Amino acid sequence: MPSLGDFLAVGAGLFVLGLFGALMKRTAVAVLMGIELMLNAANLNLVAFAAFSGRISGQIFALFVIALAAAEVAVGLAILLSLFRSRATVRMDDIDLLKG
Amino acid sequence: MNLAALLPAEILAGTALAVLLADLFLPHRDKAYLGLLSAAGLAAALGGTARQLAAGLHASLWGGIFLLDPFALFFQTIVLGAALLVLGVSLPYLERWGRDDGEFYALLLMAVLGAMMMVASRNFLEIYVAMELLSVSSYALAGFLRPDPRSGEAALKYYLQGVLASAALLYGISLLYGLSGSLDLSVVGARSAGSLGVVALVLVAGGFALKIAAVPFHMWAPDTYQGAPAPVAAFLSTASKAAAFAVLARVLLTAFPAAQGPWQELFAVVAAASMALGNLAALGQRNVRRMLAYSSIAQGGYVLIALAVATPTAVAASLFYLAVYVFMNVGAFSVLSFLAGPTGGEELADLDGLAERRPALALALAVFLISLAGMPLTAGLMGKLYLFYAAVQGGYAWLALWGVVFTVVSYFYYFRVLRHLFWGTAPPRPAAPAASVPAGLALGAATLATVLFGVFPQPLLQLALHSLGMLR
Amino acid sequence: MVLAVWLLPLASFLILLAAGRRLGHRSGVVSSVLTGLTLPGVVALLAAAPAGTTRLAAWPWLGILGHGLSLGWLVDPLSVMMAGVVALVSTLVQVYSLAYMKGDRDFPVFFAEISLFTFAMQGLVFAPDLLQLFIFWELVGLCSYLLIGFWHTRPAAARAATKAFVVTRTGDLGLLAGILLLWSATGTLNIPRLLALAGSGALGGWVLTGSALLVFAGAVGKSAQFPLHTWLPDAMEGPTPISALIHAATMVAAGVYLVARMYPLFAASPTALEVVASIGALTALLAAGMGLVENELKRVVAYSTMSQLGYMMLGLGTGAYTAGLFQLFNHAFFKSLLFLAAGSVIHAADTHDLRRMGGLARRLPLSAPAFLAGALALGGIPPFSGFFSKDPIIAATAHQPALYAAALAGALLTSLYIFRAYFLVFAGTPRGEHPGGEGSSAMRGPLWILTVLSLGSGLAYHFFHRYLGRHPAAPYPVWSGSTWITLAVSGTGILLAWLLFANRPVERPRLAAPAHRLLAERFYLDQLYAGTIVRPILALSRAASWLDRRAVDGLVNGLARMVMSFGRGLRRVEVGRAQSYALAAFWGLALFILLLEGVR
Repeated sequence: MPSLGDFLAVGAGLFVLGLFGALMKRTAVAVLMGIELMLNAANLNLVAFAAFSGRISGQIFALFVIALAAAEVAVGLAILLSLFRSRATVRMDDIDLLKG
Repeated sequence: MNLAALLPAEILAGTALAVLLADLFLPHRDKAYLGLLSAAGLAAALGGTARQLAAGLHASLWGGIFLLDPFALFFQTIVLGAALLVLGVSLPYLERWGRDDGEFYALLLMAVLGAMMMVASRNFLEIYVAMELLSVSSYALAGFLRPDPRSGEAALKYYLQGVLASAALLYGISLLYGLSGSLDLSVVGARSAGSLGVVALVLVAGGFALKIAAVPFHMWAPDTYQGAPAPVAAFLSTASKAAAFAVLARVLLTAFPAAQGPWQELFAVVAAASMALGNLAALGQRNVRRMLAYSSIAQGGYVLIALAVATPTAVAASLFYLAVYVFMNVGAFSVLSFLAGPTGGEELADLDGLAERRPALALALAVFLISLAGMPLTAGLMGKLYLFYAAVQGGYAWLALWGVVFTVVSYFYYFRVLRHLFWGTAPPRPAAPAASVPAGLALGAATLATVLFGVFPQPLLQLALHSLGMLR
Repeated sequence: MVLAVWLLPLASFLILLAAGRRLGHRSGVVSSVLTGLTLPGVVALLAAAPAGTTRLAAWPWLGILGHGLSLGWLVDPLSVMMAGVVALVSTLVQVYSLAYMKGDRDFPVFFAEISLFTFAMQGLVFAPDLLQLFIFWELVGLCSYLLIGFWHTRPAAARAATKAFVVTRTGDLGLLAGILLLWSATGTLNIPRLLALAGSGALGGWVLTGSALLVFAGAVGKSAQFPLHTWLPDAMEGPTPISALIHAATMVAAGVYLVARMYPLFAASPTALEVVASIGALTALLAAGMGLVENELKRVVAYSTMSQLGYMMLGLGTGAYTAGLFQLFNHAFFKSLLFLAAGSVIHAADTHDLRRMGGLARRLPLSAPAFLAGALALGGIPPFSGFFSKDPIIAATAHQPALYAAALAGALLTSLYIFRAYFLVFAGTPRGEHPGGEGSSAMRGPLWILTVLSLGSGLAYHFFHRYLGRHPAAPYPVWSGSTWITLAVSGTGILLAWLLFANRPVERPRLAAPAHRLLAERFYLDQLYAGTIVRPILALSRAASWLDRRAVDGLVNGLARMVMSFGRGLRRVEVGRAQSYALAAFWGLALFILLLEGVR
């Protein structure tokens, strides 16, 4: 039986991994995947805390997060799609019309 | 009881759904009615909220998940008022771009609903859900001008920053939940001491600071405000900012009063950096919308003085400032929305001689800008005066002095625009489209309020102080 | 009565705003008449506010933060005197402008802006509360900004307007800081209450001195005192009547008025008084020097304004309170006379350049003696008005050698530069085409009245002293031991000017070349400010923009390359801009966590 600490460590690892992906990947789709990882890291925390303290609110929160993450990604993909239509690219370094 | 107290929010949700549904059936030429329907919904919600505020409603709903206290109602009124102005300006704007579908209105209403729920939440789960509703609608709004790649880019940049910030916020919430075993604001802070608590606090504060566009979470703002549809930029820079500030203030003041010393210093640094960077960077901009974006970063810095000082006077001053800031900033972005065409038209040189081509627009823009600059007889001066006074009184004289110095720096760029407005020689160009009635009403109201609250600030200030009394 | 004096100009502004275009040329008449109607009001106030009285009417405006702020008016000899000056000069200048601005496309706008200015100036004068004073203080600044840039098609005018605005705002920063300091220290901004606190010693130490100096910083900007004087010569890009009204008689004198208004605050702090006196003496001397080498008629008069304002400050700073204010009073008339006469000259000669004028006395039979009267008053030659105020100021410095020397040297230079201008313009033979002559009666009338005032206003010293002196029982020192010295010095200046500049075909630099350069370049202060303030701010601005965009990109890409190089060898990695923004935010988060952990 893994301890609470183990769950938290995995959660932290997932968060950092997701952050790394979101910041360093060049295709926008991979960036979205990184963000999903970060959200799930938080989810893992919430569920682990809920399970170990015997409170249910964390698990409910996680359900909400899963639904919201889906909405977030849907909007993200929609933005990408509309951008792809006008610019024919999803590479992060091509998106630079606006700069100071 | 619960459902009755939430009537304004229900009206808003109902209107949003009705607009979405009607959008499917209405022929294209009748879409303008959707805008009017949305305006009616917003106005009804605004009226209801204002009545609740006037009545001094203080209701805890559903076991404390929601708290409709004067503080929340004050910010709900701000958000609704801003949205109504934005909507008025959007009608002709969208028509000109051929994007006057119901979706825009529905998205705007959803965003407002999110902001309304957000400021009334006392539970991290509810805060998160409401903020996501605001965020997701805002991303879509920012990218609404689909044919324009700049709009898409504005949306993507905001989206990426926003989503990362909300992931960090969520992670912070999960830590707080683990430390305290609760999601309730009044319980969380007391049990979240220790260094992990600090990490969580910073992650949560950062999530909100992004929406305020405070340095160093401001990077998205210039690009997004420049590329998004102008009315959306107006919404993001006012209503969304005010809502995030309200939540941040509530979280810090009600959940973490124990850790007050350290986060005060933190916000002093953030406020000082925002004032400096916003004002200095605005100085170099040739694009007026981008200049306004940096200016609104700086304005956010002025407001954040309140969290550094953290006295009731200071927070009341920030409430006042945000309320009047809505009028002047929505106003300034709105004037620009009339000028811009698909090929730009927002460079400084494009404003040359506007006073001769469109005297009313030029005068309105001048009023908004001198108010943003903080000149007398405008609401902007009264707001700054209260904030700086509160800072001096609260022992942050250096922050007030810092603010005064950068206020002077800001004169350079605000008055440069005036120079172009009144003293530039107008190049021959096609006349800008005539403003429609709703847009004229919105602009007129914003101008009037900017001057009125500059001359009679007392009632609003009293309201702000009153709203604060119930915060704790 | 106060309301009539204060609000008639506002009414004029509103009328012209609503119907200016329709009224056309009549708009100027409306505005002049409405302003002129305030004069009987001032006379009535004079009767209603005898010496030593203070009538305060204030209504609460903001009552929450700290203690109350109020709106209202304060009627005492000082404000009545200033209001009289404003009303009289404003009326005369408007009448003059009826002819001077004739045919201008924006004729009604001009009069609307003058009316707004007059209203704002009276609001400043009667303000019983520092916040109200500040509001109108900024409003007159805004009017000045608009009127300097009135001929907006000239790029130089727009630049000068912006420069004037920004430089004076720098001083206002000090005033605002001083107001905040006084507010937080005493909880009130009511002027009589503040002064009572300062007088009773309840307000002391660094707060007293600090707030006095900060308030003085505002006065320095407004009154074009060293080191914030650089905007005034450039402000001469505005129409000449504006220079006479705003940049000679009233608005620039508001700084002196502010110091006089807050005088007990200054009097309680010897340091503050010393600073006021030193800045005044320095400005009086430097400006006179710069006026000597200037070749544009209006700018010569502008330098003389700076210099005379310096004398006023010097008077207030050395305790010659009545003389300082009497100088303000007299100066308002003889300086607007000089400006209006200069306006006639420029009208007639069609040039601003002294070197291309000459021999104009015959063509301008009224303006020439009028200018001469102004010059004699400025030079302090009895019985012209300047003598009765300037001499007591100089005499008051007699026990402080440095100030005395500066004041005397300034007096020498004053008569030298103003008579240089006089001789170059009116004496000798014409050095250019001079198409015009004397203006219409609307232009001549005000010149006449001001000439009489320049001759006569000084003689009222006894009444003036009794009316608003701080110690009216003591005699007014109109003739003292040093008077002969002062007169000799001024006379020498006039003689020198006659020797050097009358009957000379073209002026060659007379002073030693380096000194001439130094003066002509205005002590290089403009360049110094450009180098030490404007350029660094612009550089900071560029740095901020760069840091905000490019630097973050570079850092992120560098970091990315570093990380990648561990895994797959060196491979070029370019992450998108949006990602670098996000990384900057996360760095911020990390930094804040470290900071907070450190604080704990």
